[in-house]
This record gives sequence, C-alpha cells and structure tokens, in this order.
Amino acid sequence: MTKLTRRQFNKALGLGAASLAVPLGAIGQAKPQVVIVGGGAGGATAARYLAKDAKGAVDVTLIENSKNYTTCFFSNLYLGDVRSFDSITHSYDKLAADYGINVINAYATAVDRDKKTVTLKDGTSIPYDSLVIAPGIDMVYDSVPGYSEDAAQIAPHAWQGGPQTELLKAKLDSLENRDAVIMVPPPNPYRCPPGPYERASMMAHLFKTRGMTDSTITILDVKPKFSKQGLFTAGWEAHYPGVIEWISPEVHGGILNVDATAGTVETDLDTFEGKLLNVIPKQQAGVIAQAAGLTDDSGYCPIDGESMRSTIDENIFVIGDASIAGAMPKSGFSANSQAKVAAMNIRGDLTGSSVFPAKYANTCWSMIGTDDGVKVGAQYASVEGKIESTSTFISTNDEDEAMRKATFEESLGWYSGITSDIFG
Amino acid sequence: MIMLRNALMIWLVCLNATVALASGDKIELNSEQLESVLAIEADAEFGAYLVGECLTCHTPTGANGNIPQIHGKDKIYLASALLEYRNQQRENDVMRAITAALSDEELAAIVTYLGAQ
Repeated sequence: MTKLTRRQFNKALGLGAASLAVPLGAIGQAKPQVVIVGGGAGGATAARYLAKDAKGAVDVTLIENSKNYTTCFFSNLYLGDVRSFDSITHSYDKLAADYGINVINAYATAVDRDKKTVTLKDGTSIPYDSLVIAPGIDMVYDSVPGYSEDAAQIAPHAWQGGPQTELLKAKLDSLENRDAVIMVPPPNPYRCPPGPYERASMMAHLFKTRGMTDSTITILDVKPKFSKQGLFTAGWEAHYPGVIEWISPEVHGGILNVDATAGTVETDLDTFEGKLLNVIPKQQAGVIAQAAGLTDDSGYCPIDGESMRSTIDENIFVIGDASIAGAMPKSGFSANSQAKVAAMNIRGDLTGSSVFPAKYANTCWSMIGTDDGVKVGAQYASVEGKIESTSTFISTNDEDEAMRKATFEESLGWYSGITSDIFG
Repeated sequence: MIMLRNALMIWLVCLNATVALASGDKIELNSEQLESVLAIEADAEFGAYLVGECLTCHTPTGANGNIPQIHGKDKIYLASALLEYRNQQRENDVMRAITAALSDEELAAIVTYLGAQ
C-alpha cells in the first residue's frame, strides 16, 4: 500500500483552506510543529513568513547556534571599512518577541527522520511535523592541499559571517605598506559567486584609503573564469591599477600546497608568498544535512524546485546554500526567496492554505569601488522540478558614473530591506 | 464615483500625455494595456504572495534609500509603473527583469494588494 502524504490525505478528505478544525500535529501537541535548523537568510526568513502568515495556526521553532547573525553578504564592505561590524550583525529578538517564534540558541547535531525529531548538542530532542534544513555551508578544508580548520585561524576563509570575518579584518588591519595578500578562491559551486572578487576590490580599496600604495593582492584562482569578470577587471584597472593580479589555473597550473604559517601558496608555476593568506576552500551543505541523509554525491541537497521540498524526505524542506537550486546561485537573496516558497508550501501541508506556483529571484550586487556598484541577477521558475531562469540582467562596462553610483546606492537600500525582511 | 474617478484618471494620464514621476522620469502610457490590467479581478491572497518578493527591497514602512515606497500607493500609478518597466520604457534592470516575468494577472494581483496597504 502506498504511504499517503499529508497533502494527499487532506485532498482525499476534501479539506480546503478554512475547513481544518483540528490541525494534525505531533503527538502531544495541539498545533502542527515546524522546526527550522539554521537562522540565516533562509531559515530566519522561513521562520518569519511562517509565523506571520499562519497567524498562530502552527508553532515555529528556530534553532541557531549563533546568538546574533553577521551576514556574509556585505561583510566585504566591513573588510573595506565601508560598513561597521555592528551594521551587518542582527539580533533574533524581534523574531522571538514580535512573531512568537521559539528561538533556541543551540547547535543541532542530528535529525531522526523516522521519529521526526531534531537532536541538539545537549541531547534535547525537538519533535517536528515539518522541518526546514537551512544550515548554509560548511568548508571542505582538505580540498585545498595543506589547509585545515586549524590553518583557518592563521589564514582565514571568512566565508561564514561572524568570528572568521572579524579575524580576517584584524589581520587586514595589521598589514603594513608592501605587505601582500594571496587569495585562493573556491571551485564552483560555492556561496556568492562574485564574492571573492568583491573582497579583492574591498581589500584594494582599504589599501588605497590607507596610503598602502605598494601592497598587492594576488588571486590564484581554481576556475578559468568568474562571475562578472569583465566588470571586475575593468573596475580594478580604473580604481586600483597594478594592485590586483588575477591568475588563471591555466597559467599557474594548480594549487599544490598551502602553508598558512609560512604564508606560502605553492603552485605548479611558482611559489607565491604573502603576509596574509585568504584561502576559501570548496564547500558543501552544512554538516547536519549530510547527517540527516539529505545530500547527494555533490555534497548538497536535491529538492523539488516547485516547493523546495527535499526529494529524499517529503516532510523536510531544504533552502539556501545547502540546496541544489538549479540555475539560482547560492546567495542570501536566493535563500530569502526560496524561504518564502517553502513557507507557503509548509502552510499548505499543515493548514490547507493556498499554494501558488513557485517564483524566485536573485540579484547579486558587488561594490568595486567608491560609488561604483555592479549587479547581476535573474527571475526564476520551476520547470518540471528544476529551477530555471526566466529573465536575466547584468551591468555593462559602458554604464556611466551616475548609473554605477545609483547601483551602489540601490544595494544599500536592498541590504536594509532584506535584513528587515529576514529579522523583522 | 470611484469608477468615474478612475476612468477620468486613466483618460487624463494616457491622453498622449506624459506623467512626471517623483523620480523625474517621463513616461508614455498605453491606455489599453493599463485598462486591461486594471479590469482583471485580482486575487488578494495571490497578490500577498507575489509582493513577498518585492519586500526584499521595498520596505513596507516607506522609501528605502533610492528604492521607492510602493505600499499604499495608488493602484493606477503602480500599474502604470510596472507596465512601463515591462514595456522596457522605464529604466532599471532589476525592475525590467522582474516585470518581464509577470503576467497581466500577476500584475493585477500585485497592484490590488499594494494599493490596499
């Protein structure tokens, strides 16, 4: 006998939007329980939209290990002294107080999909009817020969917002004129495709504002091309001539070894030395996703593009960087967009509310220099379960200064808007 | 009375006239397109869902830097603006891409929902 999903069961009973008198819930609970693991751009948005739109029909629990959330998006601007750390760090207070979300400041270590529980580090078990897995990324440290979690304390990746960001900033701030930075960007797919190149721009911007005219940044890439390459290349030439050198793997022949302590990156071509190494390794879905059996060989989680529902477990939704979201890049914007579709589908599952066709969006803004912003983005829809783009745009090199300034200012408005949308 | 006011407004703004918007842009409106969208009976719940995407940049509490306020704006104004973006008659890459992916039904739902906020 085929196991009925809750949706099929509800449809069979002819249950509509207003007719669920007794919502189906976890044993011992009056209301359906939604548990969200990960309080970033995906998880926190899912929590807020569920709590806001279900109007009390479901209980929402958000499990996040960090007390506050420092966004990885805009962290490059902090590195470049354009934004303060406080301005990119957000509290969960509003989500708890204004939306009635049960925010648990803890680390989720496991998911029992048969019992439908999430286990915390202290052993506490949290039952769920619907589960959202939004753990972001974790580093595959040994994907870069010689790199490790320990080495990241000397050569930070700063590809997760928070302590790593502050560590990289401290190291940048301690550099003197003539000191060089070596950056090793990650292979595809990774969080925030233009991110490493915006970061190089912001490092160069910092050197410029501090009069460090002889300091350089060498990017030893593992990819033959990168997002918005034409725009960055032209921008670096305009704002920071001679400061940033990007070297293709076809030129350096491959990364052979990174020695964080010695400050060296050995390639087939040559050994490069820098006072500061910024190594950003290959990434995978946050480890709980693998622990829960939700990942495939890629290290990320397959989902149904029409709902963000895991193709492995119908009671679980995976959103944000941890998901395999077709044409959508891994970004905070994408995570926030996917969270809204997931929340709508979860409410549909648990309360019988309306479910509309999935629509997604993403725009990635990058700051190249003062009053010089560029963007790339698209709209998306699900086509037979795969997310594809429906319209796209990208900045061009023949835009005038006024346009670039407006684009940069637009990004400031976006940051303010999206963080309100995520955290309340 | 409201219908008369709306009809008059559409007629006035579309009579080979251009509308100067707060941003200083001047646009030409297509009255048939506008009336067609405004005539659609919109689903408010669908509108609320679609507007979720707008909230990423357009904050409900007001203008956000150079990102204008849309909540509570006049429905005809909103429909005109979105149609102009979709017609590629108004500048902004992000808005052009967003509206390129919107059907008339979706436009109607969005402006109905926003106009009521």
